Amino acid sequence: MSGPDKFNFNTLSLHAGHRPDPLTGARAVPIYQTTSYVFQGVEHAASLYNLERSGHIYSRISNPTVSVLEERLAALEGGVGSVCTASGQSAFHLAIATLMGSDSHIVASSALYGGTHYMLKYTLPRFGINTTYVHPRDINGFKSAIQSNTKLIYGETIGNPGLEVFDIPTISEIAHSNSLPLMIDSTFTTPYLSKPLDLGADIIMHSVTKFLGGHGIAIGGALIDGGKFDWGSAENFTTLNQPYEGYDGLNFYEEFGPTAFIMRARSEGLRDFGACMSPSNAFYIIQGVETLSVRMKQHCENAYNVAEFLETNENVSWVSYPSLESHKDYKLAKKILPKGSGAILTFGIKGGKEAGKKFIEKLNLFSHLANIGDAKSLVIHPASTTHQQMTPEMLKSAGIGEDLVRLSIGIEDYDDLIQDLKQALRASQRV
Amino acid sequence: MYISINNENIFASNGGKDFDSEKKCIIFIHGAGMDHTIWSQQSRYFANKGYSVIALDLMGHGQSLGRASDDVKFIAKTVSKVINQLKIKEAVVVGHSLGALISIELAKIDNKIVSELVLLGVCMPMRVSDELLSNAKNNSQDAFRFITMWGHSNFSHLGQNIVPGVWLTGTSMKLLESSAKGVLFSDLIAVKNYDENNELLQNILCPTLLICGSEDMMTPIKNIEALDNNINKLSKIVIPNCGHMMMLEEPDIVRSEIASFLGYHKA
Repeated sequence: MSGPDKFNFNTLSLHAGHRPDPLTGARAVPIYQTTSYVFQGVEHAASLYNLERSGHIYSRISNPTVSVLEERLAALEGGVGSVCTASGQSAFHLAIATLMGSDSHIVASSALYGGTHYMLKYTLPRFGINTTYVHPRDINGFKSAIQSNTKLIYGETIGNPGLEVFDIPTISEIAHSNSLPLMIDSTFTTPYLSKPLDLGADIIMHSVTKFLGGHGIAIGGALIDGGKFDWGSAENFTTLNQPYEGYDGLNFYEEFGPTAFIMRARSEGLRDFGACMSPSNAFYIIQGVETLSVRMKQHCENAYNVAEFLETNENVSWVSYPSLESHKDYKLAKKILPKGSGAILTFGIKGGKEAGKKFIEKLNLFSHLANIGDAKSLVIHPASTTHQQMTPEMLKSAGIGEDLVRLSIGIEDYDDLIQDLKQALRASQRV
Repeated sequence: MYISINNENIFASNGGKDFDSEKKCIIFIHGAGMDHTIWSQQSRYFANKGYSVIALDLMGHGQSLGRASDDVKFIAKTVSKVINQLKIKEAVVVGHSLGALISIELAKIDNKIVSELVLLGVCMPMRVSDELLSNAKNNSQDAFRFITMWGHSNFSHLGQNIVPGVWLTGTSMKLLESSAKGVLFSDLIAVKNYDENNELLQNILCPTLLICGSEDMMTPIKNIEALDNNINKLSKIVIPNCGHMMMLEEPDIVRSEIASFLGYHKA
């Protein structure tokens, strides 16, 4: 046990953020399906609205079921707090909106989820926020991309869909030596495989829709605040260290110290933008988090076996999976992902786009859809779906060729997955 | 706000309102390795209820400059200088743990100014384990971890914090980690060396409220006898299922009990 908690990871996965209900004895986390909460009186209401005391006011800002998930994720990541959101995209937006306004700049890895890429490339510039992309392996590129108005460095633990491993320890040093926070999208790895805060990151975001939920039944996102970044001495972060008229001159850093970021994200970001998670979705995600370790172990074991199988298949031209020695980031993956590199892998199918289409259509167990991290195995062809709006140059920079197929390996029996892949690969080569 | 004492700037949060020495003041004093942010669930409330709030960062802590002292009486004299400089005429003093010892000393120095005393998580004597001291001396993470582990009740280790989405033990740990090197050690030495003649506690004349946690492992209830027997106008409450960090673990109860003690309805 290295953290401050009395309990270890699996115990926290099951218990953190929740005590059995003393009134009813209910053991499971109740779904508090309510929009609002009765005030104890006028004075109580006023003090809640003025952040003089804490409590639930309206479920757009906080909800008891959602709060259980928020505390649980913060505990598992080793953070000080969390805000859950309607989706991973809204978590990303919430972080940006909390940290910066117009005339701001972000340095981001070029290996990003398509949705994040669209927001950075096409949407945020309309609001005066621009991004410089750097290849995740170009460490010096991150240094040289920093500008006087840079507010954030951003990357994914494992890039999507190129599967580049982001060197969190090294890039966090670059960020901190420039008084900048590092935010990491840890969706692919979950806290079971990697704890970016321990590696030097300051903020984590998740699409909890994926492995944390684990069953493909509910959309959601989360931001986790590491509580270590010194917002007070970094001049750039006026949203956190200057008085905010939206709460009668409240200075979040002065008032809340280590939780300044997450308090502002909730009290301004959810209040004003309103991209909250529903209590029923929080309940579904909580069920997934309870079995996170068990599932991630099986996901990783299956993924490694599938990667090894593909490497030896005659119809496959290349395989990318960070736990394979052939992967460019194998050593880095060993260092920062010692328990495994997750369950996403990509490969190039011989015969390019047409063979790729046939392969996907012939699969029986793998489902063709736009998601990852389900307990069931999934497949997609990024160039024609998730990343189709990218130019050929961007696709190349992100490592996406027309032959690339992405698999999200589930927790089925390994032999059944191999049989399905084998027959579909064979069929893909038939004229 | 910053107050210059002995050429060092001492920081005090005012709970979001301007300081006014004409108003009755409430001074919050934090414990070892902490800073003023531990009072965020109380300070902002009282600032909006007509008090002038001074939630201090002791020297060397939080945003205050200077060197942390390892002498409770010296720290109390420094706080007394803050009171004089700000021309505070009447003050409630609220202290937690090390801050409670400082508050006790302050009540003796400034007994005309301290109108009420609120002591949280304190006993006499306050013992500090050699293992904790040794780790603090080496600035080891284990020192922060021990305090976080022992400082919260079993209930708090499970979470379900009253502040939505905030993981309490993680926050306490990060706050301790943010303290400058040597500060926690200095604070713990101050606690360990505080050798109060129990009879002198009888010099505390103001009404005093003692708030205890039923699961406080750092200042257990069984060790409050000296306070109970010697402080004249002492009332005490025990918060069930609560550890040493009561203003964070049970912020509503702490706020409410202080408000009630100060003579108006429960907050």
